[in-house]
Amino acid sequence: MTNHQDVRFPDAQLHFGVFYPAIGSVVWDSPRAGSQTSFESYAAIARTAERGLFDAFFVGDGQRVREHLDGFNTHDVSGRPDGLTVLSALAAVTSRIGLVATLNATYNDPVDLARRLATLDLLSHGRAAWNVVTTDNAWTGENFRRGGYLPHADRYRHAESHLLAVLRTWRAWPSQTVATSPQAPTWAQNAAIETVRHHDDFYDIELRPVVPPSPQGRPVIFQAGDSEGGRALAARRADVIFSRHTQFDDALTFAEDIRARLRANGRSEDSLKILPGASVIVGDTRAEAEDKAEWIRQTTLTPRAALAFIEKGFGRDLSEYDVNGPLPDIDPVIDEVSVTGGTVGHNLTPRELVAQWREVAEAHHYSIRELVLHFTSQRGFVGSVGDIADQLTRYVRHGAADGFNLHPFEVPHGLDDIVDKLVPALQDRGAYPTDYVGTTLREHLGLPKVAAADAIPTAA
Amino acid sequence: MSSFFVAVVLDGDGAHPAAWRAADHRPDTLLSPERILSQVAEAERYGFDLIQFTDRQVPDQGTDGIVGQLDAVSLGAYVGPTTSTIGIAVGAQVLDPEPFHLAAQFASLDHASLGRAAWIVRADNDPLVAAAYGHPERDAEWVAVEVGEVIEAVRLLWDSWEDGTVIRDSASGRYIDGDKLHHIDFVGEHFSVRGPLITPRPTQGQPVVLADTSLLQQALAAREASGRVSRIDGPLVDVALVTGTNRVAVHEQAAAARDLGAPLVFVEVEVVLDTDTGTAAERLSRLDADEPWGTGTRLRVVGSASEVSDALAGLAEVVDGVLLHPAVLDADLPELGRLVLPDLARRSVRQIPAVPGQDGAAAATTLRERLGLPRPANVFAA
Repeated sequence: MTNHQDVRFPDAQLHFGVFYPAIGSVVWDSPRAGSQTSFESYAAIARTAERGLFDAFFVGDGQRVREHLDGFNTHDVSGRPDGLTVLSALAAVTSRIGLVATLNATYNDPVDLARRLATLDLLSHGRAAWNVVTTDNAWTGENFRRGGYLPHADRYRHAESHLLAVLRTWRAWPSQTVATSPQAPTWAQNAAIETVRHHDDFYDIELRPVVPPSPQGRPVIFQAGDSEGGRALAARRADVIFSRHTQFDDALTFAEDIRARLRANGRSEDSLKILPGASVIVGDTRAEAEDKAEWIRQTTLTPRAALAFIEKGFGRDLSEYDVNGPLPDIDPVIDEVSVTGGTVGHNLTPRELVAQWREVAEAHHYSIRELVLHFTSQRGFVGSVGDIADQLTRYVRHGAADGFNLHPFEVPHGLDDIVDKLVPALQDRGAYPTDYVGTTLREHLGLPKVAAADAIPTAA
Repeated sequence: MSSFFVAVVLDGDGAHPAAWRAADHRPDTLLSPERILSQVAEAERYGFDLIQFTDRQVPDQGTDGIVGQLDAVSLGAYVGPTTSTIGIAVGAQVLDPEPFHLAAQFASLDHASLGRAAWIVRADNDPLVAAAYGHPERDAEWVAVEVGEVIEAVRLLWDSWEDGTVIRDSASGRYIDGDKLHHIDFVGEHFSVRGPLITPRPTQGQPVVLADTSLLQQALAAREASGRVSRIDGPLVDVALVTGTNRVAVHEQAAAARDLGAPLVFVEVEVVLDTDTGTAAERLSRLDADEPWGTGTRLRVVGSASEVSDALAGLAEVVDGVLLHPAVLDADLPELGRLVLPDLARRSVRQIPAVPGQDGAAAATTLRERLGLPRPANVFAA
């Protein structure tokens, strides 16, 4: 275990969130796997997480169905509800867990987004949050009136303008301005409600807001971008930042960087929580957990899925190749590869990408399937309940993370072991709450009151 | 006639501008989720066919009354899992929101309510809305084109996943059948949408679509003028809403709505009833003393429960249903539920629908089934 003197936060407790697996690496070909798209499955995961005292339930964002070569991506889970609509329905069947909508600043108007999120916040008694994401993906823009309109360089400048417009809308209506008696002169103290005026390069908004504030003041702001622009925006405006940094030293470096940025902005270190996304697979023994992890890999990475992964680089159908054999000895079809998979997160040309794959495959003598596993294995933890509880406790006690945003491997049972086994083990270590202490998401996360959080200058 | 449908608008504290002063709750609990759930449960228990929430992006200007308002789609979704039979209609705007988001929102509302969603097409062309979204006010021609095109794009998006697209086929490793997903490639005068939708086909195939008859008229006229051919098979909307301050006017509008191809016609009616605090006329004059309720294009029935029943029974001879705007929800909704709906059942104007699970009643039905509307064929199905 850790040297006690190194423990910076000896009383710190973990915060858990759960990311609903609407697309991508989730087991669907199993007798236990339920529908990924039905409301009942969303409700089941949310209720399990709430039983496990999770802070938050997340839905992702994706405004275009993924495509592959000349057709649609058929091998992956696909199909999702509108995020705020499904969360509003979940507000009625849950009572404590936070409800986080990932919403794209590029393809949602701030006027609509502010009204809809504030509504969820009121309907849930202060459990709503917005995970701010941006895109300049013109391919997604083909589904929208405005099209792919945003230059890449303006992505974060635009996102901050959008976010400010939303924050100003929420701030315009102070709490306790609606009458408590039918004899009051007016229904609300109209003079106390500000008119939002937001005019800049991106928006011309003049608006009387319509939704009063919730018990948590306004929805919590999450930010997920890991680039320089994303980190800077989070350190100025967000209440929570996601990250992909799950390896301990890497996570600690990231957390130190974020804390330094907070100090530089005059914000307290505890005013922004750091939640890396991770898959956590536990078993009663380490061997059992590893067997389970291998079964998940085998079941999610079908031969079709493995071939589809490399087909994106080669730009052509490779179904005649054996996934247990070597990489195809052919050149990629350069001009026909685009970002239509919606997943391309690198800046390599197809030729560079395939060259990189060849290098890795040759160095490790990988088959196609092994190579794809090398690039797609989930970040996270596999081990016995006790070992994983010790490891996660170390992260929070050393300030490498405030908690984790967990990716269940299956719907609706993929969270059961976490809630039934890992949570009690963490509670035994004093590293996880034994009940919800507050009622709002802001309280669950231990964030400062909203007045303090919003004492940030509003000039962009 | 034995199938006359009764829908009720649950906006604010009621249709009268002074309704908030006569409500049974404090003004600051109007938007509380508990109050809303209890009112919706009451409407379902009484046996109304449909409730309506209307979306408005900006408040009335210069009013002493209610300026608070929840997003109506979210509100509809919130009450979905707590109800089991009543239809949930949401009045959503088409002029600024993205058609793609509208389609996903209503598909999701339909999934979360197990097939009880309806969309009332709204096109508030208001200078305050224009200022909020930062564009000049739209002219009537622009609006007419937009209404028809947004409805068409949304309906195509609902069809963009055929039934049975998710196959989860172990043998081929395919989760979906790619042949059943479709780009809609809608190109209108003001926008285009590629598709498919992110959300699988709604439970009802398509949620029920309602629109005001004059809006429908303008949209169809604009389409005809443009020479564009619609890709929607059959009528543009399922239910046309009509108004008219007397029975003759309602009759004329209903005939016009049927000429436009609407399968069902509902009339909008304002109601004030006798309660234990006074007769309908006394209540109305007290409310009007606080703030007058101007008369518009709708029929207004002010009277006892049996007088309201008489009026509705008369309307049942010319239209398929009624959309009620009660003056004060807390006062008029219980009178409608306890007296008027049973009275209509006694007169065989309509039955009070059975609640599933009680007295051996059948399982819950979708709103389309309840209204006798067919499940729409998918325009993309071979």
